[in-house]
Amino acid sequence: MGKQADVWQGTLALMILKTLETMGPQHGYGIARRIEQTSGNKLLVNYGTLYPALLKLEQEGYVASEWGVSDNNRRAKYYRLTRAGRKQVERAAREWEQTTEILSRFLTPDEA
Amino acid sequence: MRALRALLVRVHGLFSQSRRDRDFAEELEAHLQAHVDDGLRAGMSPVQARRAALLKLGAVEPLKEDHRDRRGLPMVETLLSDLRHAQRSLRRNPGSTAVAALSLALGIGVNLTLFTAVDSLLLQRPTVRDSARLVGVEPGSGDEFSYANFRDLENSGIFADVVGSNVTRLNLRSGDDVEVVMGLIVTANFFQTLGVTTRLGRIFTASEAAPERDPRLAVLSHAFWMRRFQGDISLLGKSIDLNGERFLVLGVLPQNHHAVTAFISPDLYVPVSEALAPNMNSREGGLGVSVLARLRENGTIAQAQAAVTAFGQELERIYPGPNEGLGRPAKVFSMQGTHLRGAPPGMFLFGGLLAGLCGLVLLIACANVAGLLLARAAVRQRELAVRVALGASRGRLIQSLLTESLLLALLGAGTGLLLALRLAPALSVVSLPGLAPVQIDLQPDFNLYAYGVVLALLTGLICGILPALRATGPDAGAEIQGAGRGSTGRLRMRNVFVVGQVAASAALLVVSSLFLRSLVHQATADAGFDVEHGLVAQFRLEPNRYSKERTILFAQQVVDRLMTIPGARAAAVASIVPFSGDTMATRLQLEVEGKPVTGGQRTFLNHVGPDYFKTLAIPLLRGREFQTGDRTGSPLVAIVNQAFANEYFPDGDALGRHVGYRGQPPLEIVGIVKDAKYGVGNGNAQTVLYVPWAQLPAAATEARPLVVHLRLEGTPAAALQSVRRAITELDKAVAVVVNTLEKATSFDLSVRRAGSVLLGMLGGLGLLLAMIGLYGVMSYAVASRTTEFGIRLALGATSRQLLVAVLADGVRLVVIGVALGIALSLMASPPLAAFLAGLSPADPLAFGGTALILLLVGACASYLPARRATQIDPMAALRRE
Repeated sequence: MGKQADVWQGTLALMILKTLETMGPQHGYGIARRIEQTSGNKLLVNYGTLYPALLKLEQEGYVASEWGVSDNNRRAKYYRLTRAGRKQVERAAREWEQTTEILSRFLTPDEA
Repeated sequence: MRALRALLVRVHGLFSQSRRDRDFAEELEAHLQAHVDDGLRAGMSPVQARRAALLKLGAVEPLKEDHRDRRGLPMVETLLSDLRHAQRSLRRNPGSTAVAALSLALGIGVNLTLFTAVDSLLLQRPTVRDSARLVGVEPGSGDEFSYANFRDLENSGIFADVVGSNVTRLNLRSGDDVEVVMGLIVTANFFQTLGVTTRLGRIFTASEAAPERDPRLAVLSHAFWMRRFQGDISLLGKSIDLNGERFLVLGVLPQNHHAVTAFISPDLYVPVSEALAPNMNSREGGLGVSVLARLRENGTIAQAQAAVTAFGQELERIYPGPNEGLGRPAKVFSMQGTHLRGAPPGMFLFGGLLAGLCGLVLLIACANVAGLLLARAAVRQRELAVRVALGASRGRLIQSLLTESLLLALLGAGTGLLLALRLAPALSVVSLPGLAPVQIDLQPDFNLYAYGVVLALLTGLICGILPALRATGPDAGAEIQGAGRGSTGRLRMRNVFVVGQVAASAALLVVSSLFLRSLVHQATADAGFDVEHGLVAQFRLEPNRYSKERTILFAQQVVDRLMTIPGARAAAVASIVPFSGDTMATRLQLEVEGKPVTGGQRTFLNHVGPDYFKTLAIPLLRGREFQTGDRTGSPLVAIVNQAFANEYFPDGDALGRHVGYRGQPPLEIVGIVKDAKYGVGNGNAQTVLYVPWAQLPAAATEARPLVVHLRLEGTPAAALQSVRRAITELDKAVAVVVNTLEKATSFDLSVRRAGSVLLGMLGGLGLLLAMIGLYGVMSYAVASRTTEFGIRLALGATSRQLLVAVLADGVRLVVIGVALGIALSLMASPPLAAFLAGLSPADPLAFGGTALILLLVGACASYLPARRATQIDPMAALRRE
C-alpha cells in the first residue's frame, strides 16, 4: 500500500474545491501539497493535470485567481472559491457520497 | 450554462494569448520556487532542492502548450491563422486574385439572380395561416365554380372553411384618367379564413363584407400602394373609384405578402358584390371563382374529393343546364402544388434550361479559379515542402489551401451578390404589356443570402479541392526537387480544365444561337394577315353599366365611329389579338356533326364581328363573311380556317357542315378562310374557329376585353390619337389602349426576344470566362517553358516557328473542347425543339457558327501568350538555370 496512486479522473476538481473551502485562498503548489498530505501521501498530484483542472474550474467560474504574496514573501497566484464554487462543492460532495454509498452496497456482503 | 461560460471565456482567451503565456510562465516559476523553499526547509542543499522540484514538476513546455490550447480554441486559432495567411497570399497576387474573384462573381451573380426569380415564383408559399390543411378545389367541369355553386359548397359542410377568388381587371378612375388595375374579387370571409393580416389599416371582416350589404371596400397590395399612391398613408379611410363606384380603402397588405394567385400579384382585393359582378348569383354564367378550402379535422383529401364529386352530381341533377359536367370527378389538391397551377406552358422547361446554363457558367468560372490556384500552388511548392518538413500533416496543409479558395469564393460571392441585387430589380420590371401590367414581385430575401453562402462554400470546395490534393499529394515531393520549372502533370490538369470550359461554353453558345435563329425565323415569317396597316384598340366595359345588348350596341358605335376616320378602309370587332400574350390555343371539346372529337389539337377561338377578315386582309376562300344579320336569335354559324377544315373534315367540303364546342349547340360552317397565325407554335398549321361576336352568351361578353381592329390606307401610327378620341368621346369612363397592330402583335416575339437576349448574355459570359481560362493556361505554359524556348531560339528556331507552335497548342485545346461540346449539345438539344418553332435543334448554322466563334476567339486568346514566347531573350532564359 505504500505506493502512491495518481488522482482519479474527475475527483481532482472536487478535491481542489474542498481544499480551497477548508484552507481559504491558496496557490497551485499549496493546493497540490495539501491534497497529497490529506490523502496521507497516498495520492500524487501530477502538475500536468493540476493546472489544466484549475484553468477549467476558473473558466467555469467556480474559482477565481489573483496574484498575491506568499508566506515567504514570494509572488504567487492565489486561487479562491467563488460563490458558485461553494454551491458546487456541496452539490459534488453530495453526489460523491451517494455514489460511494451505492458502490459500498455492492462491495460489502449483503446482510439480508 | 457552465459549458457556455467556459466557451465564452475561451473565445475571449483568443485575443490575449501572449500576456496569458507570460502569466502562466510566472505562475509555474512561483510554483517551482515554493517547492524549492520547501526542500530547503527540509534540509536539502539548494541544488538538490531545485533538482527535486524540477523532477516533480515534469516537462514544462508541453504543460505550457497544453495550457495554451485549453485557454483558447485551437481550431479557431488555426482557422484565423489560415485566414491571415490566405489573405496575405491573395494580396500578394492582386491581378490573378481579381480575375479569379471576378470570374466567380459573374458565375455566382447569374446564379443568384436566377435564384431570386425562381425563389419568388416557385418557392414562396402564399401567405396563409395553417396551409397544411388548405386545399384547392376544382369541379369536374373546369377549374372554377360559379358563385352560386360556391355558396352551395360552403353550406354543404364538406370543408371546415371555403373561400373563393376571381382575378378581374378593374378600371381605376381619378378625374378623367382611367387606368386598368388587377383586382382580386374575393368572398367575404377570404382574409379572415386565410389569416391574412395588414401592414396598415385592417382587412374587411366576413360580416361587413357580406354581399347582402353591397360592400364597397378595398384592401391594397403594398407594391400597388407604393407605385400608384406613393405610399400615401392618408389614403386609408378615403375612397377610390373602381368601375365607376366608390370603394373605401381599409388597409394595405404587408410588403412580404404572397398572394394565393402565384403568377399574378393582384393590385387590390375587393369583396364580391353586385357592383363588380352584376349577375353574380345567376346559375347561368354568373361570377366564376377559384376555390380554396380548409379540410375538416381528420378529413383527408380522398374523402373530400369523393364528397365534392357527389356534391357536383347532385347539383348537376338539380340544375342540369348550367352545371353540365359538374358531376365528373372533382379535383382536390394540396396547397403544396396549388401555387404552381396556371404556370405559363413551357416555363418549367425554360426555367430548367436557364438553371442548367447558369450552372454551366458557374462551372466555367470554377475551372478558371482552380487553374489559377494550381498555378499558385506551383509557386508555393517550396513553402509547402518546408511546412511538411516542420511536421505539418497533409490534412493540415489541405485545410490551409482550402481556406484560401474559400476566402476567394466568399469574395466572389459577395461581389456576385451585389451584382444580383442590381440585376434582380431589372428583372421585376419585365411586366407583360397587355391590357393591364401583370406584376411579378421579385424581392431579395434571407433565402437569397443563404443560397449565396451555400454557393460560395460549394464553389470554394470545388475550385480548391483538386489543386489542394495535388499540391500535397505523394508526388509533390518530386516536384520540389525541380521547383521553379512547371510540372507537366499540373499543366495537363489545367489543359483538361480548359477543354472542359470550352466544351461548356460551346454548349452555351449553341443553345443561345439556336434561340436567336428561331427568333429571326419567326420574325420574318409571314403571319398571314396585314400587320402593316392595322390599328387595334383594346378596352374593357364595366359590366355593371354594360349589359350584353349595350355592349353589342357600343361595339357597333365604335366601329361606325372609326370608319369616319380619314383613310379608314375597314373596322371590326374581335375577342383576341394574334401574338398578344393572352392569346392561347385551348382544347375546345369539339363535336363534329354531333360526334365528340377525341384528341385533336389545341384550337384558337376568336369571336369576331362583320368585316373582320376584310379588316385583317385574311382572304376568304369559300362561303361568306359574318354579317350584321348573324346575331342573337338568328341561326348559329361559324367560319373556320383552312387548317381547321383539313384537320376535321379531311374527306370533303367543310362548308355547310356542323361543328360544336364546349357543349354549345352546333354551328353551321358558312365560310372557310386562309390560314393566319395567332401564336408562336411549333411550326404546324394552327387551327382557328371563328364565331360571330354577336352570338356570344352574355357571360362571355363580360369576361373578355373588347378588341376593335381598324385598317387604314397609309401608315397607321398617325391615326392613334383619333382612334383613342373616337372611343373616349363615346364613353369617357373607358380605359382604352390603342396600338398599331405591329406593336400589339409583337408581344409573343418580345417575350422570346427577352429570353434570347438572356441566353445570349449567358453564352457571352461563358465564352468570356472560358477565354480567360485559355489565356491563363497559355500564359502559364509559355512562362514555364521559357528555358525551352530560349534554347530553341538559341539553336536557330525562328520566332515565327515558336508563334505557330504555341498557337497550335492553344487551338488544339479549343478544337478538342469544341468537338466535345458540340457532340454533347447534339445529344442534349432535341428537347429544345419545343421552343424553336420549326427550326431543327440540330440547325447546322447554329452549330457551325458556334464552332467558328470559339475557334476565332480561342486563337485570339492564345495569340498574346504566343507572342510573348517569341520575345524571350535566349541569353536571359538560359541564365535562369
